[in-house]
Amino acid sequence: MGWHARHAAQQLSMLVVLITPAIAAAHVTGESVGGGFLTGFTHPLRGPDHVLAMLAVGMWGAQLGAPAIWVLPVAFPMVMALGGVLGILRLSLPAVEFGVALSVVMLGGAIATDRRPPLPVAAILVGFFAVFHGYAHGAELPGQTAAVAYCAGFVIATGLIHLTGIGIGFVTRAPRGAEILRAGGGAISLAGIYLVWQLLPK
Amino acid sequence: MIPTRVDPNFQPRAVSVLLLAIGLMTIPLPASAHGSLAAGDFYTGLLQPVFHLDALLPLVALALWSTQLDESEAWRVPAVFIGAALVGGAAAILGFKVQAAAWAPQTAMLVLGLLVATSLSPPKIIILALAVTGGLAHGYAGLVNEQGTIQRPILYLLGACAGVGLLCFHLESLVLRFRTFWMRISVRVAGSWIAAIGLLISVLEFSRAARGHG
Repeated sequence: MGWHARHAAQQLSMLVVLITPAIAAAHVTGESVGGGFLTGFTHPLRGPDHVLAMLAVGMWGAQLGAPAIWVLPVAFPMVMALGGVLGILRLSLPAVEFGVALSVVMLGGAIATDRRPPLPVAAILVGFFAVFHGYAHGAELPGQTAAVAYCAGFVIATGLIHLTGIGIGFVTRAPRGAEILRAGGGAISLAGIYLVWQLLPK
Repeated sequence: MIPTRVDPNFQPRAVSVLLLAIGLMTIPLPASAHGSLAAGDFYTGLLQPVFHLDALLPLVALALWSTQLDESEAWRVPAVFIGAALVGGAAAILGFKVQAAAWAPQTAMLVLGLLVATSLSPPKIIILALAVTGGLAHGYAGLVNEQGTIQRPILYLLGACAGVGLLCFHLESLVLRFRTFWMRISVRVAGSWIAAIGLLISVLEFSRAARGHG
C-alpha cells in the first residue's frame, strides 16, 4: 500500500475510533435503525438466487471490461429501485421468483459462453433482471418501520456483492484465468437451472 | 494502466492535526452531554447525521457531488448549503410552517444521488439553487423533527451546521486526496446507491400518504 493510501487509511481509522464513543454515549430514540439496516442488508444474502445473480453481474462486467465493468454497478441499483417501486406499489409483476432464478441461468450462461454483446444490449439484459430483484426487495419495504435503513441495507449489500463479483472477475489476469471465470459462470448457470427446476410445478 | 495521481498540494500532517482536533471535540463529556449545560443541544445537533440516516445520506451525496464540480465550487457548495441551513433552521424556530419540507430528505437523496451517479455538472446558477434549496430544507426539517426534544434550538442549529461542515470536509478531503479513475467510479456508484434509496423512500412515503388520504 502506498504512503498516501496508508495515511488516508490511518486518518479514516482515527476518525472512526474517535467517533465511536460519541455514538455509544448518546441516546438513540425512535425506530431501530440498526435493526432495519441489518434486515435490509441480510435480505439479498438470504437468497442464493439473489447472491448468485449479483455475483454474476459483477463477474460479467469484469469479463466485458471497460466501460461495462463500471457502468453496470452504477446503473444497476437505480434500475433495481425501479423494480422496488413496483413492489412497494403492489403492482403485478408475474413470476418474480422465476425471473430471479432465470437471471442466474442467463447471466451465468453469458459468462460461461463469453458472450460480449454491445454495452446497451448487456445493460438492457441486466436491467431487465434487476427489476425482478428489486421487486422482491421492494415488496417487503412497506412492512418495515426503519424504511430508510432497510433500503440502505439491501442496496449496499447488493452493491457489495457486485463488487465481490468484479473481484472474482479479476481472476482473468491470472494464467488461464479466462477459462476459470467461464467455468465459474457455468457453475452459476447450472445452479440457476436447478433453481428454475425447483420452481416448476411438480 | 490506471493512473494514480495524488494531489501534491495536500498537507497530510495539517489534515491529521485538524482531524484529531475535530475528532477530540466529538468525544462525549458525561457530565455535559445532557441536562443543564447548554452544550448538550449543540452536541445533539452535531450528531444529527449519525442518528438520522435520512439526514446523513443527502449530506454524503452533497459532499460527493461537490467533489465532482470545479475546484471553485467544491468548497463553495457546502458553504452555501450551511448558510441556507442556518436560514431554514431560523425559519423553523420562528414558527414558519412548510409542509413540503417533510419530503426534503428523500428528494435530496434522489436528486443529489442522480447528479453524483451521472457525474453531471449543471450551470452554476442551478448548482447554487440546489445548494440553497437543499440547505433551507435540511435546516428547517432538522429543527422541526427535534422540536419536542431540544431546549435550546439555536444551539442545536449551530451544532447541526457544524456537523454538516465536518462531514463534508472529511469526506471531500478523502475523495479529493485520490483523484484516480477508480475513486471517481466509486463516487458514482455511491451516488447511484443514494439515488436508489431516495427513489424507494419517496415512493413509499407517497404511497403511505395516498393510503392515508384514501
